[in-house]
Amino acid sequence: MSNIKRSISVGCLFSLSVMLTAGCSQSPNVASNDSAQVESEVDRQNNIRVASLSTDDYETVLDARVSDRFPDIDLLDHRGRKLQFYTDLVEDRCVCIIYFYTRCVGSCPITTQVVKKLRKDMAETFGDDLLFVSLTLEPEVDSPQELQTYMKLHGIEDDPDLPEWIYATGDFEELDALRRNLGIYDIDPIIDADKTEHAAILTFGNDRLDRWAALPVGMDYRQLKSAMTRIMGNNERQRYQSVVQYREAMMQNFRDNTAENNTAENNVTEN
Amino acid sequence: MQKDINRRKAIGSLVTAATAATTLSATMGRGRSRSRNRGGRSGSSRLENETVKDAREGTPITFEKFTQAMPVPAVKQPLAVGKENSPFVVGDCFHGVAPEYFTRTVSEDPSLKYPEKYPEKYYEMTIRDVIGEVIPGVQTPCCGYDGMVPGPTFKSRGLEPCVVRVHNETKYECSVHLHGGHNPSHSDGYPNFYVLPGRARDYYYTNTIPYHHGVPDVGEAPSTMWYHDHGMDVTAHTCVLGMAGFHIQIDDFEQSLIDNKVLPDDPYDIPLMIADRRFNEDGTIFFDPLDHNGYLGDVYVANGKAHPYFKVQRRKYRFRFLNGCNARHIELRLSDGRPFVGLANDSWLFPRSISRDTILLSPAKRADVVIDFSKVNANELYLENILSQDDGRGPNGKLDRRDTEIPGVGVVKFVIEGDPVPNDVSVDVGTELRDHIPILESEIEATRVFEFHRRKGAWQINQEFYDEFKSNACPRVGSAERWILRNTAGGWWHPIHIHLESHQIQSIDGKAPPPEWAHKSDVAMLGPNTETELFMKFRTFTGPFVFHCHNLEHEDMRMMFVFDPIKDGPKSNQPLSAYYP
Repeated sequence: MSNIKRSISVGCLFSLSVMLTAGCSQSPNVASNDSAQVESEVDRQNNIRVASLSTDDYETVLDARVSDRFPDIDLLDHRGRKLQFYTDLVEDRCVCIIYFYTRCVGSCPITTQVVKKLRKDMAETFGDDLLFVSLTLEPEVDSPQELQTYMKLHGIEDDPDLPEWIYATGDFEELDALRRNLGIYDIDPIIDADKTEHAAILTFGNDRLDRWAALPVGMDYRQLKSAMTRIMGNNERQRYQSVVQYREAMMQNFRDNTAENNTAENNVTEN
Repeated sequence: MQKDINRRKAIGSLVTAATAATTLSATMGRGRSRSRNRGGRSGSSRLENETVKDAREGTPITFEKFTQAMPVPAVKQPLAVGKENSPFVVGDCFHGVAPEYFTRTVSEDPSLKYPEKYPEKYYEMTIRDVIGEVIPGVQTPCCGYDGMVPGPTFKSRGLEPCVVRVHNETKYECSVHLHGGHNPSHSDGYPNFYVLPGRARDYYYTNTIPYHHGVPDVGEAPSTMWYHDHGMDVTAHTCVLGMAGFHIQIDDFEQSLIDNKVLPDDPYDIPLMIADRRFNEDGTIFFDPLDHNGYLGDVYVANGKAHPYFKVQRRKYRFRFLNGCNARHIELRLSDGRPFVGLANDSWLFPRSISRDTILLSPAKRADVVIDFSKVNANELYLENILSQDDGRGPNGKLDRRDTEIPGVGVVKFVIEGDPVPNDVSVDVGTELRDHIPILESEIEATRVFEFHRRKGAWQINQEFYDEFKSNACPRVGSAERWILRNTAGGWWHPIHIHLESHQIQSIDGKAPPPEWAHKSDVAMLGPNTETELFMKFRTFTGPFVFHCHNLEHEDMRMMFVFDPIKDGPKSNQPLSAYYP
């Protein structure tokens, strides 16, 4: 499957976004069969646009990756496509995983707005090179229709100019196991049972380079964006460009957000 | 193909079972058939059909303990001594050098120069990947300073400045923190003052001591420091891979103790870094960057070797214990219950040496002790960890009621040889060491309260996440403050490390601290629902500096705050006064 795409070499990384736009017909054909037919518009919609970046000459010393532990569970996305979590969404890709549920009124709407902004802003750096995946915490409620409604409600569209954003549901047990594998859980079972606890963490990584991290949505937006590009970037430009940009802006527009965060007025008292 | 999917599904369901019952069949294989996707990989055939198990449920490698010798890390040799011999132009590298290198002034009074005594030394160090042998006969890829795990030991004299040009040949954004030192912000390992891959930075360690009422405060001279990685988001991973080493500073006073045969000299003065690791079946170090509770290992590694032995003579040895774990707290004990002679806590010698039955060390804490092997009749003695800890939250029990098991897990076996050595050093319980100048209540200019807690899967201080560009606390440079560190998170332990200087713990939950913490420390252990009150001075250098939880997973999840000594303090929430990317 998709041997052509896997022959992209490291040297081509800089021209990658160009190649990807041109080369999306080479992406794995997820739902339909593999026969070499001319793709119809429907088939095209079934493609996951983010290319897999595996190269022939990249390998870790003894070949173990963080993603080895991710179960390859079956998912159903908002378009009704059947996807497999590892093979279709993670393998050799840059991916950002968000947990949410449509009935959530606590953390999810804030998280959704942050990710929406990230999706727009990171298009500049990553182009098509990145995938956002929202996984539901309530698969028993969230059918593909519900997911579509939620996306409409929050103004999220399938935009070819932006990184792809997939909303997916699946089997509760499997999604729950995946959540624990991704580290989005609390040791205390009482806290763990509160679903909103899990909806404020972004887990992101670059599977090809085996770099993963997770950060709270509530932190400073520009620093979140910079950390994501630094961890996920495929090359120096993607990784460190934003560091320079936002650093300057940051120093100029310093903002004391203590009051917004509703803390004590000031944590210092003079003697 | 179909088979592979089934395998992954099997893993998924098994993990479900594991999280429910916390047991996982030990026979569960980890297929490597994904290598099908990396066609043409050189040498892939070796692993193609093999089953490699990872260490999620514990290290699957068995080996005989205490069969390899514990090494003592080599001492780093300078390239040159003295400014006129400088082997490179200081500051002429991508990340530059601290401005203090050129001004050499004290921030609270720029007309004063900070104390220096010896000509400066120049070093060059490279962070690089290396294949090590931690478990006998097993190849393990690590990352280390100069390709060594632990890194080479720096030995410097007090008041002897040194410049270390650090090259980074790894894929990580590194930032080297000299833990326990009193050094400029540029060289302090602020998380985003990086050494980017392929670049270099000149770390300038002044090895100076601050002034106290116009006189150098010799009580602040550090002894056992260590350096480790502090890069943003990757600290936990890089430290597990081996980026840590010792930096031992000996000032004139301590040298006089050594010369007068009070303290053991070089071959009997052993830095000993204890770290816990987990190994996959293929020998690689297991690390899960998505485990945010705290990394726990089941193999104890001492100076880079798993459960080694160490041959000693029947005489007094000075050991500089360092807990180099990410999240594991340890409590060290000798297997025959013999007490240690405690010399120092963290970097600083006690006023008088004390007797310690066990040594409790949170991550990053150090303890200097003397063990007198001349009084041991047996030929073997084990250094063991008696503290039980099941997850990243912290040890079982409370700070003052910890769950311990005797006998514990043997970390190092001391093999004692020969007859008692005559004319040994004189140190014993009650020996006078270094003067301690307490910070007085009357010197305190401000009181700050910091609450450490968990919120929505991450950690916060005072309801805020770490912001790289905001100084949360700006003490007046040269002043002293009272800080109250409060841990409200249910069940979590947080060892809080404050950079720049030592702090003096005044009380823990309203009670006086135990004698080993009554003087100077740089890591304040916060047990569950604990409140620690401490006094601290902010001298010589302006910031930014950080303080953070030294459970490195918590630190990477933004449990970190910035303090920045400034001239017109005390203030809160200011932009950084300086930035040295």
